[in-house]
This record gives sequence, structure tokens and C-alpha cells, in this order.
Amino acid sequence: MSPEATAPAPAAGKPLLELVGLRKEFGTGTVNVAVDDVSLEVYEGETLALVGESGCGKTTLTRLLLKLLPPTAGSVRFDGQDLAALSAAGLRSVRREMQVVLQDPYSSMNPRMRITDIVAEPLITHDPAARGRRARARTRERVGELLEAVGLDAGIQDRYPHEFSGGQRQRVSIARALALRPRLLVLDEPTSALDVSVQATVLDLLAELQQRLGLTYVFVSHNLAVVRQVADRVAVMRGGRLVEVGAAEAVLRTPRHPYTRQLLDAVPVLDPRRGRRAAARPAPTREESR
Amino acid sequence: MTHDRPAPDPSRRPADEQPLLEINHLGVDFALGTSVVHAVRDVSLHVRAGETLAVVGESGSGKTATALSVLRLNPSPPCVYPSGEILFDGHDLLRLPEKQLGRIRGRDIAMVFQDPMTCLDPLQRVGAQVAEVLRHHTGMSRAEAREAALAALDEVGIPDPALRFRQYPHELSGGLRQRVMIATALVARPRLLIADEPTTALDVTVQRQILDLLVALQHKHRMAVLLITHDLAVVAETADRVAVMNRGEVVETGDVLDVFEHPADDYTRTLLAATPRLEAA
Repeated sequence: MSPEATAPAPAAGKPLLELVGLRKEFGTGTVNVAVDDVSLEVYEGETLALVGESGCGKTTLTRLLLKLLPPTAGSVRFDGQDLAALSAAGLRSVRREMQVVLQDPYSSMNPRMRITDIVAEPLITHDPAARGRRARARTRERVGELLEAVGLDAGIQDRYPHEFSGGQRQRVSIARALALRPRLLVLDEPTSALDVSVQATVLDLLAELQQRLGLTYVFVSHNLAVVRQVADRVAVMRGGRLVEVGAAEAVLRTPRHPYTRQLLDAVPVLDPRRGRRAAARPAPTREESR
Repeated sequence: MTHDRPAPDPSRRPADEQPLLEINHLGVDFALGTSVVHAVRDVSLHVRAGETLAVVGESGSGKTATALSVLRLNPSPPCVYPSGEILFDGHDLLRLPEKQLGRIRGRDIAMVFQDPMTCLDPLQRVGAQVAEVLRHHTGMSRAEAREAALAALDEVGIPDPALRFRQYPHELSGGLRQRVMIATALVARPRLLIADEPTTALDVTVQRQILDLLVALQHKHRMAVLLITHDLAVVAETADRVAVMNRGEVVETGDVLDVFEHPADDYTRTLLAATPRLEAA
């Protein structure tokens, strides 16, 4: 049994992504179950946040739903199509619609490629018409549009990743992910490596793009304060299983599962009057202060 | 422009207390080829016994360079200290001979880091590393140091310390390694602990345990803590006073309540506004 509660679908939504009984085992002999019987729907236009601590299986789950890893059991349906049943060509066309932004903007780009080639790579991979010298002007124009859409100057195309800050690079990653006009973006800790002031601007950008382009987000994060800001629904993972799924407000305000409660309790509070410090001063141990 | 506030509410703290650590007009430069980076400019801070001062800032703000200056741990070259003094017990740590500074490091002033693997020796058993501090600083016998190290592992909440004592760092989880590093730092009962992003690499539930542990041990030993962090929520939960750094300078310093509730500097306001909150605003 995975989810304790499944929130009703958002008003006009239909599932864009359906995970059914997903399981992933690693290793031979001693088997490590990274994802264990996960069933979950992600609705068109929503942000579903996948939260949990290191090793809980959230990253493996994203690899399964992108079919970057084959599941041991269970299935992934995107827009009604079972990914496992698709031909290579069919899978390629589905992949145009699901893109990913990774955590580390330093390791997710080839340092020897120019920005223009980084952003154009998906176009060139998926669209024969974008290849070759005659297409170059049009491709550059499209790359320019994409860079502007993420708040960068279209004139940076011939520069290299090392010339940019982490926040700017993450914008380049987003531009690259948007190149094929996807419907689903998997955002795997997209702001964890960024300073808070930069994080805020990238989160704003993601919200604006979602509105404008009608994108669906699977937002993987360990930071519950960020999740509260971005998510419509939240799925909490622990030990490869979903322990709780529901509307963000409900899960974060009135969690049903003790583990969710434990996670929420652990988050440091920004208010020095309400934080545990105030209570901890007279009585040094946490138990006494609660 | 530094927004400095008078320490309010004397009832919370004895007013006559001299600072244990006093940093005055510190400058830290890194000479890189022909150019010089002024990583820290004219920074003045102080920490009193039993108090936690948090230095908060984003990457490149100079917070870590400031913290490392206290024990002169910035790599030198390229690091030079063009100005300032760091007073501890009447000594200027910036000018103390290396040998004397060596007696203070790890004994009177200890440090914990973000990544325990940068501090723990992967080839040495955990217990030996904790005991080494005492053997080095106090002429304790091997057996005495062993007993004290076991007690230190126990004090930081490591279950079955006798077993862990014999293990190597790689056999421990991230949270346990962090506890070992704290045990190593605290075993000689330092008067000042410098903690540089001590929970940044940890999961949130483990972070909670480590923060609680640090606060409890600080009270138990009446230790001063200089906490370096990028996370304002960690500041709110642990610090008495806070100094906000930006581009090598302290832009605002004061009591945590004051700074959080009435930030005087624009950058402080930006940071506070940018930090996502779990609780309703």
C-alpha cells in the first residue's frame, strides 16, 4: 500500500503522467529496492513536488519516469501511452515532451560547448531540419528566443558556461529543457546549489514559464520551504515508498503520516521568536523544551 | 555602511562581559597572479563566552575567509592579512608565532566543517582521531585519552561508542561522521567553537539533531560559538547575535531578534525576503 491519501485531481486536470506499481531493484545477490510499489498521477499543468531525504529513491523515481532507467516492475504512462510498449521512434517522440533540469549547473553542461550549441543540442537531436549549415541562422534565432525567455541576453550565444554564474547556468539549463516545447519538466533539485537570492529569481522564472507555457512540473526537492512555495501537490517518499500524497497545503499543514510530521518538525524556522532557540535557552535539551 | 546596534536588553546577558574573541578591522586578501582579491574588508566582530554569533552571507561574501582567519587556516600564499587584529585572551592571533598558535588550535579554539571527510583521516580509526587531540594537547596517557574519547563520543550521542571507536570514518553515516567531528572538536573543551556550515550537507532531520546537539553542548560547557552559515533559518534557531556579510563586508550586525524583525540594511532585507518560509508569513 503506498499513498495514505490521494488528493482529488485539480479541477480541470487529467493525468499527464501515471506511475503504476513502479519498482526498481539494484544489485544482484543482495537486492537493494530503490523504488518500491510507487503509484502516482501527475496532472496537466500542476506542480507535483517529490520530497524526501537522501537515499529515499526520489531521484531513481525521476529516472524511471523519464525512462532513463528500466523499472523492475510496474509501468509509466505519459499522456496515456505506456512507455515500455513504445518503439524506439515512439519513445523518441514522447521524450520531446518530457525534459529534465538537473541540480548542478556546473556538471550538467559540457564546458567545451558554447551556450548556443548547448541550447540547440536537443533541437538538432530531435529535428533533422535544425541540422546543417542552412538551418544555422534559424537555429540561432530560436536559441536567442529561448535565452530571452529565461531572462538571459540573446547575445551570449558564443560564450562558454564557465563565464556564467550558477544562477545564469541554471537558466541556460532551463532554456535547453524548453527547446523542444515539452509538456513536462522534471526539475531535480533545480535550486539547491544556488544562493537564496538567486534561488528566488529562478523559482519566479519557473512559475512564470509554467503559467505562460502551461507546463507540468515534477519538482524534486529536499527543501520543504521551497516546496511550500511552488507545489500544488506533494508526494513524500521514504525508503523507496510513498508515505503520503496530497494537496500541498494539506500535507504541509496537517500531515497524516508521522514521517511527514517528523520532516516538518525538523525544518528550522526563520522566526527567531518561534524557533526552538527561544525555548531551548533555559532548558538545554530539545526534549525538555518541547 | 555598517549598521551597528547597541546590545539591547542587558538582562539577557551580563553587560560587563569582555568579548572572548574580538576581530578588529580585519582585511583578507588573496593574491591571484597579478590581481588581488579583497575577500574580507574591514570586518569587526566579537563573540562573548557562552554566546553564539552567526555570520551569514551568500557564496563569496567572505564569511568563511573570516572564520578561517581566526586560526590562520586560509592557505597562505595566496592569502595575506593586510590589516586588522584578532584578539583572543589578549593575544593577536594574526601575529602569534606558529608554535603558540598551534597550542590554541584544537584546544582553546576548535573548528567543525561542512564536510566531515575533510577533517577526518580516512585511514585512521575514529577513536584514535578523537583521542589524538588530547594526546597532543594534554600529555594524557593513552588509556586516559581513550577513556576521555569514549566519553566524548558518548556525549555527542553516538550509540555504542565502544564499537564506533574502532571503526573507520567510511563505516559511519553522514550524521554520525558529523558527530565524530564535533566530538573531536569538543574533546579538549575549547572555549570557542568555530562551526563553518556544520549542517549544510545533512538531511533536514539529521540537521535538526546536530543543531540541537550543538546548542545543548554549548550550554553545558558555556562555550562561545562562531557559526558560519548561508541559512537564515539556522541563524534564527541557534544564534544570539548575527552579522550579515556581503561582498567581503559586514553590512549589519546586531541581536538576532532586532535584525530579523527590523533589518536596517537593504541586503539583509533582500536575504530575508528571498528565504522561503515553511510557516505562513
